[in-house]
Amino acid sequence: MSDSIVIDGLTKYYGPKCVVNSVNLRVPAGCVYGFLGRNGAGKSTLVKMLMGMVQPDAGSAQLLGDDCQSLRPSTRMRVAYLAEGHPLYRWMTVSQVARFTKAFYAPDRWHGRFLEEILDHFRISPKSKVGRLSNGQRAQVSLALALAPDPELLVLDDPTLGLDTVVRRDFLESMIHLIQRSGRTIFFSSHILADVERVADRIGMLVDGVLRVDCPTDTFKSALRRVVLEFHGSVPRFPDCQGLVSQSQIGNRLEIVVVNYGDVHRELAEGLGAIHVEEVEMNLEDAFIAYTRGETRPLPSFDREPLRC
Amino acid sequence: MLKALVWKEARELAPLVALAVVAELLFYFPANLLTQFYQNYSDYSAQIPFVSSSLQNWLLVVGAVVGVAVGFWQTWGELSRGTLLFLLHRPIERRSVFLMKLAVGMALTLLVPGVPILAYAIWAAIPGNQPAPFFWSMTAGTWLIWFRLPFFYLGAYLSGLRPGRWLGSRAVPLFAAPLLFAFVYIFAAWPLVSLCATLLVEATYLFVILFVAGTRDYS
Repeated sequence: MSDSIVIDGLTKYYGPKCVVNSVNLRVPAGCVYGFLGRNGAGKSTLVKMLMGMVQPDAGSAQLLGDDCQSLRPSTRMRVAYLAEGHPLYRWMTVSQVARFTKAFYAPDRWHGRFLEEILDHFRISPKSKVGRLSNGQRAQVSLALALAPDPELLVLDDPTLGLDTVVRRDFLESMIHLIQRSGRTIFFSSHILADVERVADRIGMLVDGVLRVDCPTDTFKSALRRVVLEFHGSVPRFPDCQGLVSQSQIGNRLEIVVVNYGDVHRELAEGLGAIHVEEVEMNLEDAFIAYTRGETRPLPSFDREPLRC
Repeated sequence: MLKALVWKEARELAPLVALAVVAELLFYFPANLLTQFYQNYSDYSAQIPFVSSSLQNWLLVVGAVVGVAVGFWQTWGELSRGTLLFLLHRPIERRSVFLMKLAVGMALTLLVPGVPILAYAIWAAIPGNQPAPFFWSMTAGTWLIWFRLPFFYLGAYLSGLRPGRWLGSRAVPLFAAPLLFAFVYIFAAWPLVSLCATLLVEATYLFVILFVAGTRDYS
């Protein structure tokens, strides 16, 4: 199976700050790829580099075999892009924006009937002014416009940003129902775990511009373990080792998050003199937080140093 | 698709053009009628079209203001609303998008003052409409200035498009427009040289605009 998206060493600096740091990534055709990261992690910058909106300082990327920095119109015709915030011309009516968008596509590529059906499904009148639509409705119009030319690849930059829970759920369900067909690839960025967990086959996680995770969603969830070590007296630091994602001290317990927890980690835990060791499975949200939070300082403990009023 | 782009630009800029027409009609005429009423009893020479009349000057000022407003609206306005991301992803060469925007903006900058100036010249050329002699060559100076109005449009367009940390550095191309306008005026006595200098400045602006449009980040 060929790759719809190929990224090699993509790097971007804004001033002295490296916002995307040597990212390498392959997204196979037909995959729904969830691209996770906290606000400011570099997701949007990477998506914009993919779409040729931002020039990388190093590295390269290809969409459907075409270089991102010089995407040909014929390739753009096969790629749908939903920018963050769903920018559309607010003074146009929905039918005007549809007519305007249609003008750029070959007649045999534009599925006007499908567009009308999607708008009907979302109960959006073609006569409505875009400026009078809610954020959720504007997202739905954007999705409908993106799908009308029957794209092979959809790149969605935080498509559910700013939508309330109900609208977000509706939008995602519609998106999956409408988009998924054999061979169609979806690459979407998000900072909402539940969205990604629900729809993505594979996830990538960007932390401070570095791609820390790139694997199937289930693999990610099953590979991560939270291990709670309980001690008498002072709590030692867990030694640096392969697979250690984070560690935090809570009272007389040390919580570590480890990828592929195994014998090496068990021996290290025993060597620290823990009186009790417990392995806990993690959901995607816990795993995401462990990956992206970074080093935290120990929390103050009430039982050792009581508050004085 | 080019037709759709032209329609979109023209429709978006229609309110600005309407305001300019109102400015041309309302702001000029009441003041000018009063002046003419007064001048009717003092000095006939004040009414010689394109020689001592101030109508064409007012129209040119409105044209320059329209140029600045249109230039900023097409670039900074579209960037700040995020719609440029939508537009630039359409399956069309990026250069074509910007060239089409420039063509519409230039046309409006020239037409908004150009049509009334032409109407004024035709009116002045019809015998019996005004007492002074009229030759079409009398309009040459006005047309040369009119042809320089895109300096303001292109300056504003480039200022709106180019990235800059603060407004002052971004606005350099716009600040340069009146200076270049004055510089080209040096050649007013040689219309052909003035025309060539005007074309050179406009071509330079266009070249820089297309370079910036092709290389800047749309983040």
